[in-house]
Amino acid sequence: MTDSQLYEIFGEVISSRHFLKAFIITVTATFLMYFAAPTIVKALGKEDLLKALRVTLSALGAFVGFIISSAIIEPKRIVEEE
Amino acid sequence: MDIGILLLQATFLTVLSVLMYIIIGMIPGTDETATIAPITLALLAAGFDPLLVLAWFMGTIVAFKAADAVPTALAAIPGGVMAVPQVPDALVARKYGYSEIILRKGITASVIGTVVAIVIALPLSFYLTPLGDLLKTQMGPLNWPGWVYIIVAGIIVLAVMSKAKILALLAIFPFAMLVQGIRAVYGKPVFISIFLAITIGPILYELLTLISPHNHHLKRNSYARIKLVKTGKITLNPLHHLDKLEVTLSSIFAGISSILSAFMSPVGLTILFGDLIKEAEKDELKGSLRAYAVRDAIKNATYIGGTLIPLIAIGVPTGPMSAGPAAPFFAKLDAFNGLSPRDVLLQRYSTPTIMLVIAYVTLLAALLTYVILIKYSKPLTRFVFKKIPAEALYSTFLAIVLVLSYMEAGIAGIFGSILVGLISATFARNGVSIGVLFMVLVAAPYLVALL
Repeated sequence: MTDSQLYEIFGEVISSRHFLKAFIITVTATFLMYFAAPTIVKALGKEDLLKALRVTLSALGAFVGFIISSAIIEPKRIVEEE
Repeated sequence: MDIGILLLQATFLTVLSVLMYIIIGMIPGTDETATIAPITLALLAAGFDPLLVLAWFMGTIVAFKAADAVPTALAAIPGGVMAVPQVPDALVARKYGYSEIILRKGITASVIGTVVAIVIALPLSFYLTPLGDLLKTQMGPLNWPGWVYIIVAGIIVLAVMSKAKILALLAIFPFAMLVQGIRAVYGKPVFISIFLAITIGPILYELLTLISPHNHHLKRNSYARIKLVKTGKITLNPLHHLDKLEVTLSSIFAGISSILSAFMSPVGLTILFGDLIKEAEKDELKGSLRAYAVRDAIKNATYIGGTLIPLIAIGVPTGPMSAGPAAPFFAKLDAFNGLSPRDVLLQRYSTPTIMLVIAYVTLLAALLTYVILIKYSKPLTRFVFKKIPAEALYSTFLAIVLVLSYMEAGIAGIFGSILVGLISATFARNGVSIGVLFMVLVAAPYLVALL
């Protein structure tokens, strides 16, 4: 990776390309769950709670996205121990 | 529900929440509201019992507010916004080789803050319940409900205590207009997406700077270097960690802060009282150790008092804590037939049940957090620094805000959140306390009606 991709945000060094990758993964996972919610809710037999469960399912999607992108992206920190 | 089963479920949720938020709390730069509110909201929106979600929430805040100081002590990197005031003290401790001592002082003081706050704020909030009814009746020269006067007074106090006082005062009406204007475009009084947009604002602003040509000042050519200090084995006995004066000061200031935080900013109180203690002591090291410990106690106390007093006694979010991380409890949700989880909580359970469950889970969370942090601070910090990329974290916040904005107002909601985020960031970056913006959001309809 070339150095020019690294930026510091809130005291953290991030790579713009890796950020884009993580962003696409989490947004896809989140909206996938959002749009799949009606089907999932129907399968659970809780159609009356669609709007409510939609939030929860979307958050679950975001969490899955977080796990996937954490697994494939290397943190930009070098830890030195005294 | 049978009290035994209730306690069992509460235990399970609290333990889960503590384990999860110790990790989240340690991750550098995680904003409290952005990490706490969406998950709380997701649980409440799914119709989970409000008391059980409150148990989860207490576990969350107890663990987060103790854990965010761990990377501060070990590497001078704050785990959250609230730990930022502790960084200078941690640096003083490091200079004298006292990092391990400051670490255990902080963890122990957090427990003191938690215990003192629950002892004071929980009974007080039930005692003050009649005040809540009074605050709902319209009164005074503007014919507002009583609580609106409190919020507006809080906004002004917080604005005056902001770094940029004039700008903070100037921000009040324009920001209220922005909120009401956006609601008019959406055609409905949305709350959650605007609220999350404020939270995400500062990160959104920086990320958008990356795609602008003027981003040279953010460029780096190497990874961040983090120095972890050396630590030995630490005893579990809390009496070894703090001296008598530190225990006394932590208890006193935690008690005062737990009440004041119903209306005042947790960060503000942590800075104010911590600095007071530091300046009263001439010896640099002693002053820093003391201030660091007391700030840790205050952090936990403000989160507990700032949640419980508005939640139980008042019923509307009157301070930056209740209008921030605890806001989902006050939102009207479909899962509760348009009522707020707070109202359902008080209808469904008796006062003794709520007091018992909340006192139990809070003390359980404090104990669990204490043991885990004293024993495993170092390996946990190493894990967080080496395994959790900031990219994944920022993306997750953004994805949650985007999906909720879309849900509340479609494509317009997404653009609206970008607008609110950027304007919030402009104020916050220039020294306006973000609590001012949260509270203006709550009071916006009343403020705009004045114009």
